[in-house]
Amino acid sequence: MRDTQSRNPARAPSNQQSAISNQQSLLAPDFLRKLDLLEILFKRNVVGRREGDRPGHQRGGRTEFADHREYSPGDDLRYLDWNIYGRTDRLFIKEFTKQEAALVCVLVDASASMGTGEPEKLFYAKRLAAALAYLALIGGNEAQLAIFAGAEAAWSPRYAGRPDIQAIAAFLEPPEPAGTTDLFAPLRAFRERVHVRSLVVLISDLLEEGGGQRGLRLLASQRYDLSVLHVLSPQELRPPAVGPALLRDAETGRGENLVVDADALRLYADRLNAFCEGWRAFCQRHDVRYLQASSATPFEDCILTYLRRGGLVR
Amino acid sequence: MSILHPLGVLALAAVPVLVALSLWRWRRREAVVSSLLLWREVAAAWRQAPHARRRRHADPLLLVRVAVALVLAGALCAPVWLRPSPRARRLAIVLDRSASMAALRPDGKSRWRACRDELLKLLVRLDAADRVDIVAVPPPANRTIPSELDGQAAASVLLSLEPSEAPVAPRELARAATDAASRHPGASVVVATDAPIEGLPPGASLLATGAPLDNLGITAFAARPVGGASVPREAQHEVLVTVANASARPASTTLVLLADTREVARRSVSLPPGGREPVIFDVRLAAASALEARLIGTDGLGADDRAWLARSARRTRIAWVGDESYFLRRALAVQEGVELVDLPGPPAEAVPRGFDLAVYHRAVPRALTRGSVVAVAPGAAVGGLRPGPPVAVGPASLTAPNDPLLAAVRLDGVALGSVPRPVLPAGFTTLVAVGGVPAIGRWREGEARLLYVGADPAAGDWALHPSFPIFWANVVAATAERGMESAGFASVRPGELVPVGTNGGVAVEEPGGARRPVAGGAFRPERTGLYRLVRGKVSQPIAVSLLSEGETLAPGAEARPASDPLGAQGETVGLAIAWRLEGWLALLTLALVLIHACLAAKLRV
Repeated sequence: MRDTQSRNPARAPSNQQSAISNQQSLLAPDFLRKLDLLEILFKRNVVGRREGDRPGHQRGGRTEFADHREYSPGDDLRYLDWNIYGRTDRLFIKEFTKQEAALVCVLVDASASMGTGEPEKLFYAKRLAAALAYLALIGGNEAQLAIFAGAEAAWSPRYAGRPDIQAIAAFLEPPEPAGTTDLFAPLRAFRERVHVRSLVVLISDLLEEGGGQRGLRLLASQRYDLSVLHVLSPQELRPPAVGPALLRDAETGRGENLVVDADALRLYADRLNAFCEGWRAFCQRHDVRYLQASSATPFEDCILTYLRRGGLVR
Repeated sequence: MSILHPLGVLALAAVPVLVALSLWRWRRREAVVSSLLLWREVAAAWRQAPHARRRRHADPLLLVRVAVALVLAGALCAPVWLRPSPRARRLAIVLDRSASMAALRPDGKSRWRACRDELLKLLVRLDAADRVDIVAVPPPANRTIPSELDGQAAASVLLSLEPSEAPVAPRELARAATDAASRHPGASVVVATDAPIEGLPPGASLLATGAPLDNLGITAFAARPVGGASVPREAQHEVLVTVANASARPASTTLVLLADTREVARRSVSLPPGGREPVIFDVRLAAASALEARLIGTDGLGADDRAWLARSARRTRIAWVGDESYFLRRALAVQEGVELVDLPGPPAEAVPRGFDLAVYHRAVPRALTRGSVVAVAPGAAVGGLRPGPPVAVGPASLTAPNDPLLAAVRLDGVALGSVPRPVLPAGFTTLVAVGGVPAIGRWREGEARLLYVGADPAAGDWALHPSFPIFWANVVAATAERGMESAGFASVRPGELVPVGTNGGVAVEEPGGARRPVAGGAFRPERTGLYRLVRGKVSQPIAVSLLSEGETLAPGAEARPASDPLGAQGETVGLAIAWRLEGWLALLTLALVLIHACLAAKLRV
């Protein structure tokens, strides 16, 4: 595992210009204006570490009214509601909710398999991650990103405030697809690094056996608010019939001889369907949002329609 | 079932090509996938599948392509399905083999080819019992076309024939058609020609071919010495060449005159549509033995673009007047270069114009004007000679043995039969006397030279003696010697008979260089060009030129099918199915199918 917090290029003043261009390539200014109308939906009670704009579940603070309760001796008399006392001759105390800033953590799979497809899945995943981080920032929350490939991961610092979108873009842009898929390692690392309950979004093609579900089970047991964005390319959803071919694994380089004809494609479609349904069932069991997207789907449609329909944003 | 175009079978070669391309399309290629996680089970299932399932599925596109190729190959072969007709039919084909049939039509096909294709379509409709006679006009020179052929044999004959370069008059075709119709009453007669023909027998159908022709040709070619016939060969000559334009637009060309393959003159010629222009060259020909006129460029008909003239020894032309004499006629006719022409009666002049010698047998000339006259047993006065009553005589004797006419002649012991005792004219030279009576002698009267032979060849036994043909050979030689002075340029047309003499040992060298012996004392050239008669070490050029305005300007007619001659016989039409797909269209489609298969294999789509 590799921590890039101390040398994140987004922090370097000399990289300010490239950060702006990266932001433009990942998120167009017009699209950012559309994102301003959305906000992230938190499914579970996540705990903010610092005060923010989001009404939390802890009582406290002075601005966000939450409820009334009957006065008990010892209560602070400053919070007595004198209007109610005047009408009912009974003493009620006003309670307020503490304003919190929640943490939205986006984990992006940058393994070699994410570099396949047309359009490329990794670029699509980066755009999704940037959009979600931006939504977190404009919602007064914090955002942290991680890009992982194999057992290694690059962690960003926590971003807060709208201007940090440039730093987010600068963090997301450089990584190239490489290495094998290992979902368990970054999820376990996340649990070790982040101890507050937060919203975790995993963006990956999930083409790995077992590890991803093990890691998600681990986090679900800690009551994190979990979401999985399953990104597949159109070539994976509907591969072409190329006849006799040597299929080579983009990650391992291993080959498999096969005649990709109509029968093989039918078998593949069944297998893919079972794979996706397996993930969907797993996520349902563990109260994890599961959203599937094709990298061929227009990006704006994905954010404004699919994620909204999936309950991740509104 | 039969096919019209056997070469169409070659199109079947496209089928293995298509299969090979399909196999090539199935070559293995490498494809990178994001993960084998999903494919592994597919591969395992595929490996466990029964062999039949793992086999390559039949490519539907390949099946379609092969089917299209088979259909197109079938169309190119032009298969026909024939039904038998109730009774045997008879077909007579009169085929125009004239030079103009080789002319190219605007579609690039020759008139001959178009005609032949139509006739082949007719022949495949015949049943096995039907019979065909092919009459080629002119007939091929070196073969005889058998008669009563079946359809297949007739098609073979038809395919083996080619047009000659000989001119053919339309009336010859009409006469051949009439002959064919009269030989086989009830037969269907088809005349295939490009000539505007008239006078066909009733019921004959015409298969016209041809189209307006772009052609420039030489229609006349002659040369004569300037200043008379007796000038030496080195003298100035006047050469006439007529060029005709058969096309419907103005044309221009260059006319070149060659003497013994050496260019001696050149002239540009421009002609209006349908125009003719005589071109006259004044050239010094020295000792050239052959002339050639040549038009530069190519056009629809090649046979008339060149013409030749050859200087040949002049033939000795002998006019025969009077009663028949077998021995005397044979003695004259066997001489080489002798042309014996019978005249019905005594001509106005003793020796008609164009003849070198006149032989009067038991006849006398009306007037002695000029030329050489032989009077054999005249029976009446010839000039100043008056034959008297016949007398019985003894053996003959030579009184002037050194005379050229008696060279190698021996008359010892020969009985000449009875001879008249003549009254001799002044200057009479007795050559042979019998018992003191002049039997043979010669004299001159004005410009006439006379030879008197008092003995009748039919009466004595002189005709059976070797000295008889020798004497007459001397007579002809003496005449021919004088005739050599007027030798000139001449040519014959293809198809004409060229006599070469019966002495044997003569070969003809064709324009291509091939040499073959001449049998029968004559040969008939089919092609134009400069032939050579080779006799020992002597070579005599023979010019063969088309020089036919009818062939050069033959307009032809738009090809149209003849009225169905088989149907006209009242028989069941034999043709049941015939594919009519243009060959170029089928080939183009086949090429497109192959190109599509190539691209599909290359791009693996």
